Amino acid sequence: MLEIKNLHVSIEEDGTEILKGLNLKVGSGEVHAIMGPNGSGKSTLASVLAGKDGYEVTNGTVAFCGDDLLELAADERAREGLFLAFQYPIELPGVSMSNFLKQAVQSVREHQGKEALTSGALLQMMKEKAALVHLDPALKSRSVNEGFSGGEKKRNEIFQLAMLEPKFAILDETDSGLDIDALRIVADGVNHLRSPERSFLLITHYQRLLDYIVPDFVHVLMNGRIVMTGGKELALELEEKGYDWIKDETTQLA
Amino acid sequence: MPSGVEMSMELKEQSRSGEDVFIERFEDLIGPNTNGSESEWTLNRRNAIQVFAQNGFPNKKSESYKYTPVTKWLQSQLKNGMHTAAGSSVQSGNLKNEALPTPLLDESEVRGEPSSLENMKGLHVHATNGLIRGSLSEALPTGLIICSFKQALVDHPKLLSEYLTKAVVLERDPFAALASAFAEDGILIFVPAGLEVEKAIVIHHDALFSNSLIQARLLVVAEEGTKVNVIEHFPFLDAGSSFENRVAEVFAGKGARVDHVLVMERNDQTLFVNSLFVHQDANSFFRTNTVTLGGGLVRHNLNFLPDAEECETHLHGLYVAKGTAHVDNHTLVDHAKPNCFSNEIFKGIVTNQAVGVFNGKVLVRQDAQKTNAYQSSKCIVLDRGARTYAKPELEIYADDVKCSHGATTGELDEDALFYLRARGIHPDAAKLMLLEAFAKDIIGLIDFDEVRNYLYQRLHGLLTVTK
Amino acid sequence: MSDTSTDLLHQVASSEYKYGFVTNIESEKAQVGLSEDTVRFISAKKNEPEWLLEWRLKAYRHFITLMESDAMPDWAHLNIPEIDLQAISYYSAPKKKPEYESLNEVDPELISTFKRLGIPVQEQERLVGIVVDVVMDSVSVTTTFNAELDKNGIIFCSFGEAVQKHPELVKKYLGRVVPYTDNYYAALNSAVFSDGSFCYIPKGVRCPVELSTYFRINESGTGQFERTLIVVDEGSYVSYLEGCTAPQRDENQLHAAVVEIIAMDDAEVKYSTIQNWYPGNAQGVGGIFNFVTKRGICEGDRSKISWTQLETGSSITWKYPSCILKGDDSVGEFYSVAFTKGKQQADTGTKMIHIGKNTSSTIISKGISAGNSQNAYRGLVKMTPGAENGRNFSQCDSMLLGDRCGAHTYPYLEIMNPSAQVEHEATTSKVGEDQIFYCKQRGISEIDAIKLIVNGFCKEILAQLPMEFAVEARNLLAIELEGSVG
Repeated sequence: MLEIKNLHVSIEEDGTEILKGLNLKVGSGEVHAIMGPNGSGKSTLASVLAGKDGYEVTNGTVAFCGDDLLELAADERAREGLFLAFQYPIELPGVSMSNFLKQAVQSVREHQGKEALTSGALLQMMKEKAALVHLDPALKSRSVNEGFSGGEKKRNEIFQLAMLEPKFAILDETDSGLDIDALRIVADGVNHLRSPERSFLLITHYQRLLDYIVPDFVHVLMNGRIVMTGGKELALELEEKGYDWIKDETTQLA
Repeated sequence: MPSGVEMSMELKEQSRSGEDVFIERFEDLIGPNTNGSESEWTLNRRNAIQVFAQNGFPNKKSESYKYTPVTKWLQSQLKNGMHTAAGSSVQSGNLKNEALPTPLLDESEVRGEPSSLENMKGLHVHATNGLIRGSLSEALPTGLIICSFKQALVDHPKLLSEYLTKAVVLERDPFAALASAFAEDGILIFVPAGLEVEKAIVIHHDALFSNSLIQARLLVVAEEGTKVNVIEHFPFLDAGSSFENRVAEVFAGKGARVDHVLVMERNDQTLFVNSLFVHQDANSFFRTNTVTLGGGLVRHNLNFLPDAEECETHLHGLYVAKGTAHVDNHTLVDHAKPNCFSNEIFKGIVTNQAVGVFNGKVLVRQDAQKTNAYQSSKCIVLDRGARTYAKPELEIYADDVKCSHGATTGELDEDALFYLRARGIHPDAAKLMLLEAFAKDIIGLIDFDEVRNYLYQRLHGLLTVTK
Repeated sequence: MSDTSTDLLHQVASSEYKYGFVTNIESEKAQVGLSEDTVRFISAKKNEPEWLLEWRLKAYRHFITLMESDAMPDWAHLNIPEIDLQAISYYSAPKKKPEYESLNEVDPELISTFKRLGIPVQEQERLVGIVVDVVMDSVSVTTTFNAELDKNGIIFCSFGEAVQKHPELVKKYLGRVVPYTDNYYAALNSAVFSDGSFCYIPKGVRCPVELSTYFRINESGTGQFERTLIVVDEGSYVSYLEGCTAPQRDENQLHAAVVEIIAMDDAEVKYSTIQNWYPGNAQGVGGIFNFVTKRGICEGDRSKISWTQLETGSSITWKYPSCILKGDDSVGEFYSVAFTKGKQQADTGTKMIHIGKNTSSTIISKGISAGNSQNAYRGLVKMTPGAENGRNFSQCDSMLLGDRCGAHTYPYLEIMNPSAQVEHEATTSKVGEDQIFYCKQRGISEIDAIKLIVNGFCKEILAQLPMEFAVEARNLLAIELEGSVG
């Protein structure tokens, strides 16, 4: 589904290289977790995959369902079925949730050659999906993320994930700032959305999330590269030993 | 602040030639004061032309017209043969002075298509050149007066002499003085004490003489304890390059609640100067929502005098400037008495080669302790070539006050755009959504569904084309 | 606020001026009045080359046209009494020719003046890392010497000396940033300026000491018209300090100075001012009319000019230290505290003219008004069509101490580039009663509470000043506030 080869990414403004030859392959229906210390390049990876401005890909390729992902604009990627749950969801004062979702869902459906949903059907869908993450259905008249609590914002991201039904979803530190109950709600929502046709990339700093969303693979990202890959046990090992342990391992290897 | 270079240029070009045209025209129109027994109103008009003669049109040194070249526009329109008819009196439009440009065109009335605002629940008034045309749509509640000044002069002379010209400050703006001098008639709305007018009074300024100078007046008197909504619509009219210069005076009596909406959509050759002077008595509430979606050069002079304690004043404004339009909102809230509140929010979207100007002044006089005054101006610039000027001013002479202003100018928020696009929304649609959301803050403050919906619809059309 | 505190504020607003002494130094004055002869007289006195005299005369002629067309700027929120330019003497110099081999030769009166002003001109005091040029009335009277400047090739001397010793530099840069056509007072200054300071920092030099000019008006019946020219070459840095005082007199004296700064690629200039000219007495009699044009150009890429000012003096202040951000990625800053009391009037602020790409500017202005004073911020932020990604943030806060003063804010935002982002915020308030109460409850007297709160209000500005200056600034502000209380 997604194949990243030797990806090098720099910050456009000052040329600092963040990703230094990253390789990653995610198959259909798989759940991958990327862990790593602060500043290792986790969020940069998420932003680059989603097509955010301000980064320069200096080398490497990203294939998404066989197409060159990097050729596509941010909205085209989204319509192709790539979803990013933002670490810091943006507030859009004056843009109502219902109008926002209508535009997004219909754009994606249109691209997929599906019929536009009727208002009724859309509303029904919103109601169902909102229930999935215990979001108040009254939110549809509120502005996107405006006045939402931290937990509500994160749940709203998963709600949108559910609405847009992407092929590939990146969750960028969705667990950060969540208390245990909210974490469980988010995780339940994600688990519910797992399917053989849908892959996930979980970006996280802590192992905690992985207790609830059990990954197929765990990768450790350090200094712009994946330095170790393992099964779900790797996360536990990291939790126990910290990232320094890997640093030692990798320097020895080097 | 003018730099020295600009300043020295200003001095060389102090041309005041345009004024004489109007002063002579006025004399032709009114004639000499023969026996000294003229009506109060005529005396007021003479006074107004004198004030105009003293101050003249804004020149390059006029700080309040620093960013808005009204005089230049006016002069070019005069050269192009604009009629300088005063009010509706066509006969007075025949120019006697040979030096004046000869009118080239027939003054034919141009009427606009009925807008959906026609269908809203309300007391509908139609106006040609700022004067009531035909009869009102339905019977008025008891005591409510809506009529021409000329009619009022016969039926309610005391009302006119008590209120007319009492709110306008002629020295503040030459255009206000000019309209006060030339307007031969006007529209009077009088709400007697205690009356709450349920339906909105909707004035459709939906007909003009093409290529004319129109100077009109509006007087709204809301006595103690009243409630009234006045909605004014200046729809698109294919009336060539007209100059509408109007003065509106509003009196909000003790505890009165007056709500005003102005929607301006004239064609792109129109020069439109709107001077609003509001006088507020104790505990009164006044709100205006000035929405500018059209016009060539538009200048709103909005003046507020909360002249007693516990007044509440709200100024809301939205403008979309496209093409080569020049839209200027110039406001003054003159806090003269203690314990008043004012809140001002203006938003603008400026595209193409257009210019957006905001100049808002909050003046707090020495006696106006415990004033709370807020002002905010936000502007989105969409295109290279578009320009914006903002001059939000605070002038404070009392210490126990809370006053603030903020002004921002910039592009659409990049992060917000990215968020929308990351959800699969096309860039153009995303921009439109954000622009509409931006405008909604202002339109959403209007009480009437019909007006809000009308404006959302117009805005959508306007911004879709704009992108 | 309670009556007692209002009274207190009135007292605060009428504190006395402590620099109001006169120094008894014999001086030589030009004939009273402004004429072409005056200009020639000054130029001759200064032994100037022909080109400079020509430049002065051009400025003079331009000024006359401005005067005849009544072009004195009137847009400021100032009530300026008629100034009789023919009643002023345009040149005044201490009679003893100020060319000293060592400080021992200096007129002892002068030395004691410096002492009273707290200016470190004595040998032992030079160690504090400041080199000082002192301009009294119209003429630079002494420049302390510093071997380190010499070693680094830094030129720091009086303007007159620079004209003699470095004419090519002066000719190249004089009027570059503030042409004599710029405005009324700049034209006047260009015609009759008598001295000032000149500073040149060569390429790649970080000036190791603070450079400082102290301006002092001493003679009565004179105006002071000095010119400062600072050129900082590629990759260099200088921190420049300016202080001003004047004797207490019943007459108004005119001070019309020009400061020009030029910063090349990667250069940085920090210009700090403590302006404490005599403000006049509580009734508004006397005091300096301070009409100053200060402007810097960020000529080179990544250059930076930062203005910091504490304005407490002068009867009338008309001053807008500005930055022309011409180089790409250049930075302009303006940090200001303006304190007015008595019948003082201040109309001060800045202009940030963005021309280059990715230029950014910051404006933080704090106005404190007391007594019957009027205090206005006026600032222009202009994004020209080429100012791609220009950024500006402005914050202008005003505080009113007392119910008879005025605080005004007049920002001008002119945006001609859609990628530019401009943000302006302003607030006006008084010292909070709850704040004062809180302090009092903790045992702090009311006046100390006010001092504390005002100091906090100005903190981020004063923090921009170099160390020694910051202390002086804080003391000055405290004295201004304290007044006759206690």
